[in-house]
Amino acid sequence: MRIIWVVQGLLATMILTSACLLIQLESPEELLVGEWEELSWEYEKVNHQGNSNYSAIDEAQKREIIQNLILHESEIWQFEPNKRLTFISANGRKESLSWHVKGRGNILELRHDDERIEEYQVQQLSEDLLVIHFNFDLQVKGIVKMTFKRMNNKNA
Amino acid sequence: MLRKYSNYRNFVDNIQLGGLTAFSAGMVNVMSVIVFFAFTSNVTGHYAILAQEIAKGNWYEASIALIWISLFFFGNFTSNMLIIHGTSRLGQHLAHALPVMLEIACLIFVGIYLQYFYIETLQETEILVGAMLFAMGLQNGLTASISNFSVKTTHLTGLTTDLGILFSMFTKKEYRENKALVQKAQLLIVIMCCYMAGGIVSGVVYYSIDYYTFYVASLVLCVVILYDYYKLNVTKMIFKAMRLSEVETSPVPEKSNVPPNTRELHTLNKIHQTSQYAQET
Repeated sequence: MRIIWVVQGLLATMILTSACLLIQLESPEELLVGEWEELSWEYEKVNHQGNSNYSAIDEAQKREIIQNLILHESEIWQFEPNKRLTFISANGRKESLSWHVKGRGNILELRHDDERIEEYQVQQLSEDLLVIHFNFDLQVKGIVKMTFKRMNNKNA
Repeated sequence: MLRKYSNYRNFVDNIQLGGLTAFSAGMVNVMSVIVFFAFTSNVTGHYAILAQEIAKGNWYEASIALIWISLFFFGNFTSNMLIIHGTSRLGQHLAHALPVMLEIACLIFVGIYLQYFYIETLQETEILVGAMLFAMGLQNGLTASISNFSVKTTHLTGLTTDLGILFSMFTKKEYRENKALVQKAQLLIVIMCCYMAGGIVSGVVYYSIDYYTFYVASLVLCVVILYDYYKLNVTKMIFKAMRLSEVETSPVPEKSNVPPNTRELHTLNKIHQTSQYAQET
């Protein structure tokens, strides 16, 4: 009987601690706000060697694959608190769209004004570093890993 | 579906309850994945995520995973508590229907919120997923509790394990001829198919009716409650009609030596026999 009370007490403590942590800690949504500069792009599968047998893909597959593929190289991503994201390149402001964080903070959804949607998995998010993965469609093997660093101190 | 408890339930009761609730669970799970990118009918993945986030030191995400698991747990807790404490006060049918009513309320709340108030913040996502996990906990707790743990409809891990074991048993003739085992396999297959069907229907329907899909899932659950209500009412009507015909057709002696209560007892016996027959059929 005493064990049951101990377990119940432990469970209640864990839940209360979690609730306190949720109140105290910054959510991924709040952490994202700010300016992030792209550091690197890495592909999971590159530079195939040997005699791999590649089969050609047809036009329909090609269209499906590139449907939501948007390249954001050498850009600054500016996440604003009003859920707008602006891409800034060397030539200036490129595009503004809306951003949302879903799941338990692990999915970043970018919604362009022309209804195109990009989905990224947030792999790592801290004060200084943001790592997101863009999953290609199943027909294409590979994950794009994009790494960003925060440009300005968030609290500055 | 709902009014019978534990060992008094027959195969058909479990098939009906399992099929319909699995269908709604499949719908809810697919909807939550489409809208929130989070699973809501099963918690195995959330345990894995909890461990992973603790290992990474992501305390915010770990807390969310723990609270979601807790909400599923409290759903099960509430469901069984309503059944064991409510049966004596509210009657078996109402006590069993209460968890389903609460589940419907949760799903309708999520549907209405999505339709009129949702601005896609992370906090909203976390709360709404929590509400759906609580609803699924309620459902799983109810079906498991009233069916003596033989019907669990919100996740397919245990079900697939049981099916694998049963199918391997069916490689021996003596098990193939065991009616209880065959019925168990049939029940599991029905639950699996209904869960899948619910998921597919939800996925297809969502793109045409959007957040109204939550109301469709609630309607399926309404059928679970109202089916028993309808059956109870029909049974009552049959009793009433039989009682009336009994009173009209029985000859009443003008002067009888029969003690005054014997005829009433006779009528009551008739009603009792009819009720037993109705329950069996």
